[in-house]
Amino acid sequence: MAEEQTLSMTEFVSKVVEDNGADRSRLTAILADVQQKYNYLPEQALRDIAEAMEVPLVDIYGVATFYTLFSLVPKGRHVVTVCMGTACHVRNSADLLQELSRELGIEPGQTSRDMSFTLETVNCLGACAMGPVMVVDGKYYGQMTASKVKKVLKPYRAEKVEEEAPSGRLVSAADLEKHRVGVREERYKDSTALALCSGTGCRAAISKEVATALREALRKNDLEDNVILRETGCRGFCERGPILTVKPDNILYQRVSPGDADEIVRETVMNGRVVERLLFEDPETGEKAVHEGEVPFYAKQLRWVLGASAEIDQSEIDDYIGVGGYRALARALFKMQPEQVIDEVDRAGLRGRGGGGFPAASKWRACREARSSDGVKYVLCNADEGDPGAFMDRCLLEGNPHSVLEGMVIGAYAIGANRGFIYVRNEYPLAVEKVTEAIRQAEQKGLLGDDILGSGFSFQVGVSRGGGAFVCGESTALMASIEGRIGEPREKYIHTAVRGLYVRPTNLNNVETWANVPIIINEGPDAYASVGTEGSKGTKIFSLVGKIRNTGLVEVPMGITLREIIYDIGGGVPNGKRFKAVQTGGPSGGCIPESLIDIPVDFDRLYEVGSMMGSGGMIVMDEDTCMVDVARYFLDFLGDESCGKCTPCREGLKHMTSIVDDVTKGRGSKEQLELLRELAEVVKDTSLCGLGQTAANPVLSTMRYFEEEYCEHILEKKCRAGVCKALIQFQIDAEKCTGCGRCAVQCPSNAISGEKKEPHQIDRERCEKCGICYEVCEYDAVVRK
Amino acid sequence: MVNLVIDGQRVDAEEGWTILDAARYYGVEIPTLCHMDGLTPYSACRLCVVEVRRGERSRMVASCSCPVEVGMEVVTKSDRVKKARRMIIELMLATTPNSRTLQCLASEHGVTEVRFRGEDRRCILCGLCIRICDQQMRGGAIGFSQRGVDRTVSLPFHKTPEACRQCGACMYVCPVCELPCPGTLQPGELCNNCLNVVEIDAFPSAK
Repeated sequence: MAEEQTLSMTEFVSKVVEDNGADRSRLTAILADVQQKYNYLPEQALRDIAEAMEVPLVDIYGVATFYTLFSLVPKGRHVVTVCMGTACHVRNSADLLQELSRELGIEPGQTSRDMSFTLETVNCLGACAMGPVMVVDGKYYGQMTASKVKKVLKPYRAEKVEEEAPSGRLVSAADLEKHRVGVREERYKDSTALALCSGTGCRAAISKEVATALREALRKNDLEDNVILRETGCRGFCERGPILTVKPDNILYQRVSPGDADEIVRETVMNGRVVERLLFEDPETGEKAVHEGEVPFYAKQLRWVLGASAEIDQSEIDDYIGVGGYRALARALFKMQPEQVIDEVDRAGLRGRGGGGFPAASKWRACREARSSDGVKYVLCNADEGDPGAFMDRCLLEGNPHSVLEGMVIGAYAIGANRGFIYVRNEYPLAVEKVTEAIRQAEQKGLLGDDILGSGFSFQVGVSRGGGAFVCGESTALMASIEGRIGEPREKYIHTAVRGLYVRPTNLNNVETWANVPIIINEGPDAYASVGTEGSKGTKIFSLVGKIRNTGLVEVPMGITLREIIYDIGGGVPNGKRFKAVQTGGPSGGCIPESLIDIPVDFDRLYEVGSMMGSGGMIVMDEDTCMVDVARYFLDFLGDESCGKCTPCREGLKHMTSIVDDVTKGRGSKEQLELLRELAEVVKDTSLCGLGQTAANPVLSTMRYFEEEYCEHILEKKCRAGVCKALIQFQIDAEKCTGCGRCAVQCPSNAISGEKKEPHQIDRERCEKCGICYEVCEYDAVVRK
Repeated sequence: MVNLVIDGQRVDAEEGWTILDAARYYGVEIPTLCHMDGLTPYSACRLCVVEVRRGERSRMVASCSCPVEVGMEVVTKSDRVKKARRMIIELMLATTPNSRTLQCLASEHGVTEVRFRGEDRRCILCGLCIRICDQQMRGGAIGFSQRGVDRTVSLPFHKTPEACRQCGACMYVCPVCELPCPGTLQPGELCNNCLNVVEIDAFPSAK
């Protein structure tokens, strides 16, 4: 490192280019490395990169300004990022941002003058279960409110912040089986094992500290060699994290803290007794659940894809092999012809889990049959999970990366492809780390790379990092991004299966789809297809977030009703509020009202009611959510994320946003609503890619089911949910106010006054409507009208 | 030969032609802004959308990049297409009122009002300048920067790079360099002069 310090910028840049390779596909990685060193991208560095890579400067400038990851101006020492995802939005992230902006004295995107803080927003960090979320220098803070801001920023201002620390080759199917027996013998004996959830959700809820405390407790009792502690991937029940299960009895403890470690080891591990106070207690009945299956959250789920995450350590390929991993790959390679693999996937009825629900086998077949000029074909994994409110792909990659890799190798074998990429969002650092590690391990074991398991089949896979652009989840934009160009979609009149990445036949599926492939090969297509509905087979993972009691990841059989998911698994809407709608399918989806809550969840039904499956975000909204505001939120999001290539999407979104914004401010008119509808239809009809073609859905679906809310905003200048700031007032109910003065102390704009123990008043002129008074009042004396 | 139907007419097109190629060959006019022969198709302005029908199903495609297929039924002037084109012209005029090309298109397609809040951005981001610089002049001097509504055609760091030879090709192809007939207009203003032309009966005796 010391050596690097002395390098000039030009020398450093040429070293980075050399290390990464001067290939265009490495451009985003090179820019990321340079930015890491200088904290931003200096102009000279870009000129040096252009020269070293022999690429026109303007192309590099274009890429550097396209992706939000990169900055051409210096950033502060601490970067504060506020998540603007849907789940966080419905839980009031806008107020949080406003407060941060006030507290730091800078607008989002700016850096404070003393270079200490930069305030940024991000369109979903995938930590939706803990929303609203903010991140300071990579440390996650969940369940944030405006009133907590000061406390969180304090240590960073003082500049004292604790830093968080971040075998042999198998040559045949028989070898793999032998190894599996060995692993089971060693790591899956009938003795005790601890499985601690270490997904991003639980990490924010201090699972790292819990792991350290548990290790220490085991060491004190001389148990470290006998009891295995597994740090597993996300277990879904983020609301109650950190989650710990004790094997072999599968006792489930929730909200475990480091202080519980000694007791767990002493009571449960050593004496087989249950620690009652850590058990899940049903908030309705008060009944305690000892095992996973008894917790209502898990009872109705069918965890085919996510299940294994609970059994394996995130970083151990041997654990995956121990629970039967790579068996499907061996079967495909040695017992099946490629066409047979495609046929089985076809019979299983696997449809793409990334959004469109296109039959996977059809794509595979088209790609297999497509001719490539030099024989090269690509298999890609779309892990650019940009839908705000969805985080299942992140959890799969973090918790069980090998299941995704195994699916990809099987797919590559069926298609006849030898190269591949996993395109991961840069907002998921842990997923990038885990999947990179998994690739290395699989290559070492001979399960990836040249001559896999001695079969003669080779498949190389690399990780490509995204740059913070939602549109890169679109297949052609994703491919452009991997090639190191601006993530701009192109027309798909010639399918990517025929002409995709580097103009070669390319097959792209998303993370969850790939993870389903080994299950189909292992269980057989008929068993797989026995679950689900006519047109949608198997299971689907949803991230259940927003105004719901049990937030987290759930995996359910296709065809389950929304009601079962929301009430039986999710436990309904908290705080006695009324359920209003559920938003599915991300920004391309729509809002489904209460009247349709009994529809079965499958690809086709959701589409019929004006929404879609999408990647599986499910954001629950209650009476405090304003549907016009939700529409404005999605339009804002899409306008921000549109690549700007085609006219209807770029200009149309801008004007749709401005019309809906007018409505939320009480300036809308009936004529404008008609114009909005007309514009929405054209944007849908004429946009170039899927982003634009579906961009009108949130508007059209909220106008379809909640037109009365639009009318109220326009005619009565009223927002019934109390969200649209221009239409609400805060008042203090003199009868309820005890004059405690709490609101007056907390009010950032000094708008509240009053004598001690006398009712207080709010000065309407000064009030910024941040809602802190409403939040902190213990006597419900602050009313929002 | 690819046999297809354009506006009710059976036509034969060469393999590899786009719908636009075929339409132009047979004299069917389709308006375009971001397309130019000799440059790669870009399909961004969306003005060239046409309806492609197949039995009951119908979809909108960009004719400048969609290849012809056997049995395709193309409709270039359906209500759906006309409505879309009018909206696209209106959207463009809201940000770029001072283009003669655009103002003429407005008159031709019957766009008589701009209902959106406007601003004069003087660019429709068709990308012709960027493509001609790169593909024909081998310059690579200009490109797109930023994204979404902030997207602009720009020079790297707003400085003319060495790669620019000042050949002027970018200006030559730009569809918004020429002022409309009445001179400078404000956002929202339309020329529409051609719509006000009174028809003169030049040959009264011929009746």
